[in-house]
Amino acid sequence: MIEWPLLVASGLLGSAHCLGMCGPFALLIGSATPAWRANLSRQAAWSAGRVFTYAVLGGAAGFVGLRMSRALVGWTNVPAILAIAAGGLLVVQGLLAAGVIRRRGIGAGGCPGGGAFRALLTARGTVEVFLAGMFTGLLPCGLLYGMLALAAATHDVPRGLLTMVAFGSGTVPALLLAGLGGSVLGLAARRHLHLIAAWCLVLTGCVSIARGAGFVHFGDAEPVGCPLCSPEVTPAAGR
Amino acid sequence: MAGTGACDYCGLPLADGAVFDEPTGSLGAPRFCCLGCRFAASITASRGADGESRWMMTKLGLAIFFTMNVMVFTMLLWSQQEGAAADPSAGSRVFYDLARHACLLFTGPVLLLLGGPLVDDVLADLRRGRIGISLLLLAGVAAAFGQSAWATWQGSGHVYYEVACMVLLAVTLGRWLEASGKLRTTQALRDLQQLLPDRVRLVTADGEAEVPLAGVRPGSVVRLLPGEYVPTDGRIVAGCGAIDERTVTGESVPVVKGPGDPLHSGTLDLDGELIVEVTAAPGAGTLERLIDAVTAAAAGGSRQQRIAERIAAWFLPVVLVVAAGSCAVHWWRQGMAAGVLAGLAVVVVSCPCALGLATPLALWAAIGSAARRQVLVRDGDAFERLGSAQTWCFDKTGTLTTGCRVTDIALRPAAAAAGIRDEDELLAVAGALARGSTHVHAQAVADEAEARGLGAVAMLEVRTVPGRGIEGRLAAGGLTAQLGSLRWIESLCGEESIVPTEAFPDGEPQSALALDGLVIGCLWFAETLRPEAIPTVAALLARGVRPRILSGDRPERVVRIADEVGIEWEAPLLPEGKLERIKALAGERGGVVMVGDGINDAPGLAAADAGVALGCGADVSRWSADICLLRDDLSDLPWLADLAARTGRTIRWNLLWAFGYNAGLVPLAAAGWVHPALAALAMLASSLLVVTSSLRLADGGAELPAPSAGAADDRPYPPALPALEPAGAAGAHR
Repeated sequence: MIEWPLLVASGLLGSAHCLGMCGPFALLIGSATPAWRANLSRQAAWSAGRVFTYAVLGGAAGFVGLRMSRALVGWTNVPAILAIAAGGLLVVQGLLAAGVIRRRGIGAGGCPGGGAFRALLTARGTVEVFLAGMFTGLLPCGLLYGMLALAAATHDVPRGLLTMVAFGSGTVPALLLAGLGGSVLGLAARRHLHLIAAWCLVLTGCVSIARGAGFVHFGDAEPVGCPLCSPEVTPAAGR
Repeated sequence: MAGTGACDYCGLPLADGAVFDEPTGSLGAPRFCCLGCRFAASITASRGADGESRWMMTKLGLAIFFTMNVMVFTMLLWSQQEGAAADPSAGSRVFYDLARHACLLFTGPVLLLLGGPLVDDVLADLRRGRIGISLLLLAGVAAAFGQSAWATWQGSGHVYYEVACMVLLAVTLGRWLEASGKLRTTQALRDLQQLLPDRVRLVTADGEAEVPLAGVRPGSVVRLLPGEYVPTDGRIVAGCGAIDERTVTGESVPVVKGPGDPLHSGTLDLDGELIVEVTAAPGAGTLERLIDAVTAAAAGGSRQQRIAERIAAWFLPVVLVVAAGSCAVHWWRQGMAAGVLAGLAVVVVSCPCALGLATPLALWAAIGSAARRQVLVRDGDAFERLGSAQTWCFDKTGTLTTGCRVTDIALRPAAAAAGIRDEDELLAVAGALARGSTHVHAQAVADEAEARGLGAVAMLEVRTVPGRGIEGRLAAGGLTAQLGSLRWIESLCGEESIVPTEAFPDGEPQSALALDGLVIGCLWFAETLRPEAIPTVAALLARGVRPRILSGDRPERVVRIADEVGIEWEAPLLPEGKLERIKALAGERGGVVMVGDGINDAPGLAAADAGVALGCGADVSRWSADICLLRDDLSDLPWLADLAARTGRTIRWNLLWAFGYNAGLVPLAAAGWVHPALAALAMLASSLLVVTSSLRLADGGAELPAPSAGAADDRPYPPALPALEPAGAAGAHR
């Protein structure tokens, strides 16, 4: 079975990265109400929306993985390759967050839905905030793609879905904190946490790559299991 | 926006055949340019402007939420299908039935939320006796849902809930995307329009009342308070105030106006309380005419747009035929469901938005962006040509130069006898005479005297002698004084006073000053180069275009300016000679842009592929150029060239994408290889690509001038232009 704690931890540790992109949204949602309790329920609804989208994407990724593994029956290394690709993405994301490598400039495109999205974020109703969370989940994010590749590696719809729920739940605490008060931690502490999280992300990616690499199968040796869901068959799982 | 008629949602001009009247079809009914605008308007109509985008997003968001649920259950069904076939156990059956019922449960709200506008479209089409895409889409969605519901009820057979949901969602999202894209492109013009107040203070014999702007007629009298925008053109009856006219004239320095002075709509009364007699009906003021001119340019479109429209007109029938054919073939070979899915996939995957909007959206966005920077495009065709023009011709006087300055002063022997000892004393007398004249040389003399801090010499009986100069009498001593052309002064002073011009190395002086019938001194002038002329020409050269001066002035004057700027030149050219050169250059090197001052250069501006005028003035009906730089600033030119080139690139890329996408995916869909849900996603992605690439152009312009910020015009553009190399390096006169 998948190591759920590892996935939750990835979300948890990766959420310092999330604060960069999604943190402002959390603040915006909080800005609509001064009351602490009301804000909590708004933040919860928003995060629920995000996790819902992650779950659907995870299910879709699992389905794509399933179709791939069925279509490429002879290609025994598909799950391993997916795990390695996912690990690669996570490593890149971690290195980006740590500032080791730099992102190339992305042109500011005109998103026609931008204004309406903002309207949802600041709307009063919980349904709107949930929907805003749902759309937030669709924002491009390298970390998310890495996790989706992991979900695809499960080549199963329910497991892919649960993978992303686990990851999504991991991202909730940091964003909840960010949305509720923002400055529980000082700037320096946040910067340290961010750096630690970035390197943890690199570590998670490396683990995924190592496990995938352990499963890459050459010639006609033993039957190949999934690097993520069947560790018991793995003599050489890169732990 | 008068004339063409505009969409009631996005404000863009209505094209024939794209008008969707409300069922009543009456004159006052709302009209829309496309299905997307109609959809967006129908959702927002009941909510008012306040919660407009919020409610639309909520509705779409809920539909997306339910569709995502349907997709998850569908994927579960798909992934279990093979297993279930192998294992017909009770547990597997229960799971199967549960998943199907869940799909049914979640599909219902999607149909309810999004089906309405599509049904409305179909009804409107049918009422006009047309069969459109909407009808086919609706039929496909209904067939997919009907078959699935029946299969769920029966407990056997395939379900296609995901098809119904995805198609409906993608079509709605695609149309909403189009509509909001169009709305964004017209934002700049709406910002301008919103400068006009909704209500005005009408002054009548009975007193004062606040009435809607529409209640004002020419002849009405309104009161304007400091900080208010002028609602429509008028004339000041009483009061005095500084008026910020930059929205309509580009002039950043406020103009002080008093009784009798005209006021333009959209200008800002900075500090005076004014009583104004209205001279133009609301909607016919200066600002509205300006907006109308730009809207008309958008309506006129461009050559590429007309070609794309002709192709798009063929596109729909072709798609219908392909869809019908594909449906028939697959039905015959694999049964009804396969036929309907294949036909639906063809209709859904084809992206008419990408074809129909590829050109106009980019053009509208660019025109709006230019308007935001107070560059008014009046001809879409010319704007398109400007992007590819290889030669830019400049008029000299008033275009590269602005006004004149005194370059040299020489005292004549008679000066000492008249008590004039040095240049400053001569300038003090000349400046006192010149102060009253608007002639360009007189202004240069007055400016020079002021710049040197010379006090005014008291003058009496100053009068202008038309075409010759100025005459007056010194208050102290009563001597007559004349400042004017050398010929006039010589003729006044007689044979013995003729200035020996060969004695001066800089050539003949242009003006002279006489005191008591004796020539006291001579003056030389040179045109002042606009401060931004050198960086502008350098920036144009850096873009690979070839700027040159076409001037009617004397070569020795032209060459001085040309050398300073680093530009090729041709002079002297009579007006008809200029026209011939422009036509010849157009033949030689592709397009020619003519940059001139809008009044003297009107024929040249009209003959060029794109005519750009500076300082057009407030009256749009007198403009002769295709493009007007309201701010009277040359540094807008490189920006404009970039914008036009980027617009051209965007349009070409959009068209390439639209043709490539449709040519690639429609055959695949017809072959039955594209699932309708995937087709819906592909169509959406295609629309998104075209709309976002076009909207990038809309963000290019600067913000509208802030009325309160006095230094809004200080923004430097381009931020850092390369310094020009010494003249000649860039290739002066051929």
